[in-house]
Amino acid sequence: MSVWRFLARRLVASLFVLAGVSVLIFCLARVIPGDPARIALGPNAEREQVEAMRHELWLDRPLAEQYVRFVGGALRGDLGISLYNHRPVMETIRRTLPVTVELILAAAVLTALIGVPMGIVAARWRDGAIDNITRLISLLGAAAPSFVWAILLMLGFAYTLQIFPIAGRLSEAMHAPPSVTGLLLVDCVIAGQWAVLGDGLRHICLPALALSLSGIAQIARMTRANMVEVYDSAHIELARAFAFSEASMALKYALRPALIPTLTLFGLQIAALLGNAFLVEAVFGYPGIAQFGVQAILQKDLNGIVGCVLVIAAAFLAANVAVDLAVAFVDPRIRLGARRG
Amino acid sequence: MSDAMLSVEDVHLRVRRFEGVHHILKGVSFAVQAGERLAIVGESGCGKSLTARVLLGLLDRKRIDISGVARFNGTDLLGLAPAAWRGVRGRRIAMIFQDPSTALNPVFTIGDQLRTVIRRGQGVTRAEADGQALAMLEAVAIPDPARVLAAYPFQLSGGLAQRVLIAMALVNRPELIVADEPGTALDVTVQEQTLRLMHRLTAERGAAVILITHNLGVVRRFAARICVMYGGSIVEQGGVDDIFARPAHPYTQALLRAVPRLTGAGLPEGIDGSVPDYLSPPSGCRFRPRCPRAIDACAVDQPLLEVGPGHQVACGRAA
Repeated sequence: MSVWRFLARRLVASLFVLAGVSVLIFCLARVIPGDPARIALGPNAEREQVEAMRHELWLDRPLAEQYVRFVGGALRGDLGISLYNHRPVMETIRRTLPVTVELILAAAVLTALIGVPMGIVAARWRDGAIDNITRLISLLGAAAPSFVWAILLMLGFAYTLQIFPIAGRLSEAMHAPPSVTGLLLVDCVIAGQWAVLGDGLRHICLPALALSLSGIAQIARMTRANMVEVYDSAHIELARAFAFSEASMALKYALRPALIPTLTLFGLQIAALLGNAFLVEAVFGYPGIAQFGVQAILQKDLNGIVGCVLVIAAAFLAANVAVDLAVAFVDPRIRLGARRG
Repeated sequence: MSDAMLSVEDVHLRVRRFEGVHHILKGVSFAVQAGERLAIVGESGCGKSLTARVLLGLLDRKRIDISGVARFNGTDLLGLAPAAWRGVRGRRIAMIFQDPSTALNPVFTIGDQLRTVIRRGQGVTRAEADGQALAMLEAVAIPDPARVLAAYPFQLSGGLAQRVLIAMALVNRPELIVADEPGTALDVTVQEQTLRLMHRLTAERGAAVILITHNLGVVRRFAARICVMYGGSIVEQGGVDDIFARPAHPYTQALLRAVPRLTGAGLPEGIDGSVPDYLSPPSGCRFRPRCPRAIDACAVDQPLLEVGPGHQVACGRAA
């Protein structure tokens, strides 16, 4: 019913955004200085070779024509050949994107599972120990970006204490199970390879934690602020006046209204995770899309840049549609289409 | 007084804030007999809603000092441990909230909220609570109770939501109902209907009612006795007819002159000035700065003195 209409409307809107992003990044990649053919062939290449390559890449055609050809290919799942690793961009994305998605999902789960309970406890026992710890973490989270945390966590837990592996996705001795979902941890569960699952989990802990720290702090603060506000509302006073239990107020009657703004913030957090994942992956030598993306930018690999940006934009849009659906699920006023006066 | 169902004696309420201590309730005393209907009347900020919240233990005692006694069938509510409140709230004393648009949780159905009220109050099974919820909504004259149970608050009109609040207050058959300006947020005709319904249902069940209101017109029809409150003290109390016919306190007299009338000449008269500042209130009678008849003797605290049978006033000019 109305949820499906809502979903359809959001998906159509997302397609328009994606089309806009594709025009923008396609033009931007070509406007920034530096000749991709010259960079790819090196300073010693002959002029004729460079010209031939420019022709081969359609760089000597008008921008509009190049774009139309690109869209034609993209619709068939062909994003062109990368100038950096000379393989189809789509293939590289298919290989590296799941790794990054898995890292971001892990960070998002950590953010939700640590941030929300922290906020609830901080609001319930205002100015208590947990409240002060959340304050400290949010200060630290705001003071240092995630790649700094990545380095600090790596130094502390991987280098000094040696509790976690330093880098990479899996240990040398481990072999990934056949890809079903592309998400290593899920594939391990499907294949029943528990040793590999354990190794994968150990490898993902530090990067996911580094990535999620600032989000945890923000979600905790937001949840706390909303919970405090809801605790002061008339309907919680009514709940008290009718002897509702403290637990049911904290986990149900106050939490649900308080979660609505938190969920919206969560959508924005996912955008931040996508950006920060590049840096965290670089620190931990994580085989995600970051390595390819960074090289594509440095090498002015046009197809690589456009492909990476489009995939990230699509992931961001999908995450936001998911968050909107979650908000609609939690808030009946949105789900049932209330006209608010 | 000792046989009263509820007797409130010399309750003081002080709020500590950054700028100092606000002494809001000053020696509030009144009693309610079983099945009685008492109205507490006063302008906004006189402490009447706070009095209601004291009776249900809804105030944060860490920030708010409350002293005095509020004896309800033998137990002192002000000394009640948090766990002991469970047996009282919603079960023996229930409150009807003022604004149905904010008092119901916006993201849960009416059925969920009403059922929780019933289950917390009576400890019955879910099915039993469902049955009671349906029957109670029928009792408050809601035409389609099953639909209302499945609805969210925003899907109900104000009048319907207010009836749900009444249903919540009545469903566990409490002995005392504290009605905090019910229906004030609604338009006048709906408010009238709401009050009539509340009146009928509480009379049927023999529950005592404390009706908190600033509307004297409402009081005359729905209460037997009135406490007039000003600046955190009860300045006059007595039977409805006595108060309307022979108001003894200058504030009560001014309040009655401020009621708009359809018949008779002249506009209602306002009262000059505003409610006292609770941070540094005037000594003695708190109405003194606004009172046309104040004398020096009013600067000391005025006890409630009998001026007629069951009619008492706290005024320096009454003696």
